[in-house]
Amino acid sequence: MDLSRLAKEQTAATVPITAPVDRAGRIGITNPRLYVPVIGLILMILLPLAVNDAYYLNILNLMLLFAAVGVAWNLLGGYARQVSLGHGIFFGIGAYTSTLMQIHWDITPWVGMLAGGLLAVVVGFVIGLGVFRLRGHYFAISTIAFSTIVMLLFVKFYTVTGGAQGLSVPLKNSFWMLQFDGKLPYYYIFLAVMLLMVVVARLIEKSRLGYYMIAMGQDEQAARAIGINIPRVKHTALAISAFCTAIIGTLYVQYMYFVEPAGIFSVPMSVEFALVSIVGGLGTVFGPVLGAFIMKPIVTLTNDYLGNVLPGLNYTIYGVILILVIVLRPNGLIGPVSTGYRYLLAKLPGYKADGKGGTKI
Amino acid sequence: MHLSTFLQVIVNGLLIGGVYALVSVGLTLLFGVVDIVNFAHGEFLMLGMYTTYWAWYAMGMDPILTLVISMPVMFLVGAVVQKFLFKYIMGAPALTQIFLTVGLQFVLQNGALMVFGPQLRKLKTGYSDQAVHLGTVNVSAPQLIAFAITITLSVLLFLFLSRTDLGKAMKAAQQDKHTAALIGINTDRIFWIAAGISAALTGAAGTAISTYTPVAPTSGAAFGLMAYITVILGSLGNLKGAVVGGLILGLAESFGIQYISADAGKLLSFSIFILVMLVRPQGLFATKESV
Repeated sequence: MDLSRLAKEQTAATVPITAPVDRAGRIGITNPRLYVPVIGLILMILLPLAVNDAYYLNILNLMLLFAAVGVAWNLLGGYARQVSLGHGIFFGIGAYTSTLMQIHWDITPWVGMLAGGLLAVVVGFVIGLGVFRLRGHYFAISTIAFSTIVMLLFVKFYTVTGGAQGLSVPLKNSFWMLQFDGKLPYYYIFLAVMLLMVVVARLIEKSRLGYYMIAMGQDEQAARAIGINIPRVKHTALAISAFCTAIIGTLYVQYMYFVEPAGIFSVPMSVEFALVSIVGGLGTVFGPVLGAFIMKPIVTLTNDYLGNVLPGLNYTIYGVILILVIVLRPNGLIGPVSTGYRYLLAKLPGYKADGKGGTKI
Repeated sequence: MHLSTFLQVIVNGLLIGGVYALVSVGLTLLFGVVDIVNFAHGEFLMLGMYTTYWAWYAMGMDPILTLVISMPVMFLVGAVVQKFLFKYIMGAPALTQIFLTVGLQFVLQNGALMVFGPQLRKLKTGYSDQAVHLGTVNVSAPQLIAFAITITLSVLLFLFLSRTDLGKAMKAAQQDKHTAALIGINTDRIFWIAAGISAALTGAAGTAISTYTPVAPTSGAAFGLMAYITVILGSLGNLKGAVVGGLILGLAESFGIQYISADAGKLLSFSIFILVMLVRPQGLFATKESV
């Protein structure tokens, strides 16, 4: 293609179709691009008050928690395409570090989660040295091997870790110890963390690091050829992802009050972190959120309503959905949802395009 | 260190390793020819175990004789899965393959839970708890039988691939699918036959394992995990690698149990796996570029 024509087309693509929103480039509250998310947020805040039922609140809490950890996984697995099946390691380190610090030194999990996050970064760095030279199946299966090793170590050194029986969080209801009577306070904490994760993912996506990660994920050799420092990008992506995963691990154990090696370091746990991104959409900000919001209620509800009738039916349905999504919509379900959302926005009163080429959700 | 203990540790390691090798041969064959890593491999094994259990339970067949049922049944399962599922993900990125077959794993494991229930089913045979004494060394009879099956099937598979036209066509497809198709090999047919043989071998492994391990919907998962480690250690797609890899992991496990502590067997074998990966990122027997 003629280069000048290409340049012209590129300029044309950046010219706004309709006039920009205001002089400062901000979006006004009368624009659905702002008021729809604001209404959504208000609804999310009011939702648990309307639900007001411990059973359904628990499902909502798990949806938010797995959405958050899915976003954390997606940073490494989705954008950078390093398909880790060992993220249970970081989740478990977060859960164990804060719990052990509470048991032995009475240290609040608000501090413990940061310690766990930093420890996860260190452990992640060491594991990264081992696995980042590997590709494809070799990488994925080696991450499984690492999580199995960590699980066996936690069982073996039981004097420190509590061994196979696991550990319970000491009961002390207070905000300072990140423990609450009902499930409602957890909802708001998980919602805040999930939104924080979404913001983090959005910032990374638009950063230099994010572009490096995406380029590397699409073609590692090409990315190396244009001068991207591949090991550094991989290690940075892993460090951020491991830190966030560990913090959510602390929140998980504060909600469950219990952690055991066989559960938290198991392959199914790590696979679930990845699954929400696969179903929702890899390498997108809201993909893992959508995936968790779809899969978590399906598993829980089918288990509770059909579990006694026909045990196993719930995860069979889960498996069938997974297969169908991968065969029919290999890029996840976020595509049609995103299109539908934009279509809705365009129909609402006050809609103005921002000139940046459409909303990306 | 006593010599007799040492010999016993070696024998135990080879027997455990023989089972890992047997479980892994089908998985590595599937990758070698069809280019797919099946994360539902442990569940194929579980189906083979159930086939043997029900043949023994319903017809009173000797569990080892049920090979004549478990292998054809699993051949069909493998061929059908290839035709209706794997066909669509051949050549897809590792990520797509992993999660599609994870989906299949969910379906098979929980499907078995729906059909057969969660209870452990245990075969009883005259030799389940027997041991053969060779001097001071004790050899568990069912594991010895499993080892013999490994050797026999590996030799048969090797002969099939090197001596028969179908086997040679399969090897050609393994080396270069497009050229194989160009010289008139019906690669589609080769793929479903290879997937069938892979599943039949896995079914045979299930039969061998069911003589000393209780059968339940989750029985295959732990062996499946060992199979993934084994085939990666010995380089994906390499049959010799799967056998050697299995024996290395079995020996490591046995040495760990005897000379470190009872709970350190898997710890040692997995650590050795990681060490090998550090030195040889494409496994011990890497031949073709693996991406």
